[in-house]
Amino acid sequence: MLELSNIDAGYGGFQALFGISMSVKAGEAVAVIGSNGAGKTTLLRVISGLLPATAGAMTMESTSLRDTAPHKIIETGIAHVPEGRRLFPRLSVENNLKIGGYIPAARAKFDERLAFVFELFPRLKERRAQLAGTLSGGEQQMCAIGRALMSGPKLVLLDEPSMGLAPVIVAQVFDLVRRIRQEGYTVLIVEQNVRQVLKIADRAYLLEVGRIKASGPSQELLASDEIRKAYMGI
Amino acid sequence: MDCQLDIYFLEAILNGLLLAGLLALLALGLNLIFGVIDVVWICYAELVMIGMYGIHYAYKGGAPFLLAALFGIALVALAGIVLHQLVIRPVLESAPINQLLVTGGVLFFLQAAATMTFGIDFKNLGLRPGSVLFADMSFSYSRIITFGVALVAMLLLWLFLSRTYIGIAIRAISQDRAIMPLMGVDQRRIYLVTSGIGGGLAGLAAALMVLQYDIYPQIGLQFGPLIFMICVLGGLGSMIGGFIAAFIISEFIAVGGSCFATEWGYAIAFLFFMVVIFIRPQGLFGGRS
Repeated sequence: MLELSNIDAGYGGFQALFGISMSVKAGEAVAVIGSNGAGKTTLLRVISGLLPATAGAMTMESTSLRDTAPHKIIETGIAHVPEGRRLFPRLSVENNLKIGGYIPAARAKFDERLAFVFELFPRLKERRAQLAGTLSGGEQQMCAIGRALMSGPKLVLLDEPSMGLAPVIVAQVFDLVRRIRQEGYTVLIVEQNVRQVLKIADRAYLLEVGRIKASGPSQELLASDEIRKAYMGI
Repeated sequence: MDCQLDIYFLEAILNGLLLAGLLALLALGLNLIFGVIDVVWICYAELVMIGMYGIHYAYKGGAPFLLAALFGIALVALAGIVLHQLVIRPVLESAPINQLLVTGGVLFFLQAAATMTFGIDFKNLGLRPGSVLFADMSFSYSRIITFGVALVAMLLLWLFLSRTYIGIAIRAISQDRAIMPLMGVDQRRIYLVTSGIGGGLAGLAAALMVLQYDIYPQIGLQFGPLIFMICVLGGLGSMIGGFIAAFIISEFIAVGGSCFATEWGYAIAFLFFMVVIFIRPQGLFGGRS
């Protein structure tokens, strides 16, 4: 579904990603793990067009993403739940969801998808008229994921969904991710919470200072001594 | 000093209310532009002036007033879009001072161009709708019409901003610009729509002002500073704040003017403004610094 080959990217004179090649197949949940500053967030920003790649090729179901304007990438079926959730704090929950379904193809299906998101996250239905900025952290994450689903994506990019949340809420958030997987969405998730994310992902890539250092099925990575030492503190 | 709680005092308060409608409409346009595009159109009142001339010539050319007014609204909406494309877009990433200077430059350009093209004499449409007398108080019809139309226009804009996809995107963009592409929103398109609406509001204000005021190239100087003061007092970018501030400032002008002299009304309003800004630099309803 998503293919990256030899992608370079950076900010100004600083190169953050070096020759990244990876793929995500339909129906998979793929994790990108690594420490702070490894380039995980940059990778997602490059895929969704917020940051232009400087070299390499990137396709979503054979559409070249490097040739697609940033605001058109969502129309290829990629929805990005950004780091820190980034809800519109002074819009209601319902309007946040509505803006998630802004693209023309999504507008006709607004009612249907809103009902689906409310079924998936009943809490959002209770809070639909409330300003998004007044939600709790876990509810905000539900709203951010719901907003992404409103566009009718095939692939959902999740950037550190557990960031800044209390441990008990983190468990709930991983549960949310598991649920959207069960609904048939393909997921590419970036996390520092390595142990948890490897439990829900099929495969993972390990990113270190902008390069892919290892990749493979989650079980293998979970069993690797190197990864256990470096990222799980065991 | 002649300030008693008599019928003239009440008349001044009500006239202040009527004036506030127009000022609120103008402040709304400027706040909308600033909130979405993050640039202050220093030349906003000059766009109103262009609209007033457009309406004047359309009316004198034989168009009925309503048609001339629609022409003025369309003209200034177009002027807003052109202003954005030619002047604002190239400086979107520049320092705020450069953005102020460049729109300030447009202000002087428009004034000079209007002086050269239309001359310095005062023009008016010759429409003076008269006044209504009520319980010994007098209110001009044009002010009442202005107030009513301004309120309806603001209500329609509010409905647009809260019900339509583009309206919600306009509000969203002022809250988090950077992630708009992730929503599939083309920022350039939203900027153009906003510039057109901001211009259209200035055109509507022009259509209302030709009923009350003479047209001359410097009329922007009479309203421009007032509108900025209202926007800053309410909190630049806050549409509700601007609306409320318009009423506060209008009352200072109208009541102060009635109690002392018109000039004193303005002086008191600006003094109040300065005191508030010392205490609350972000304005009465401003969230951001």
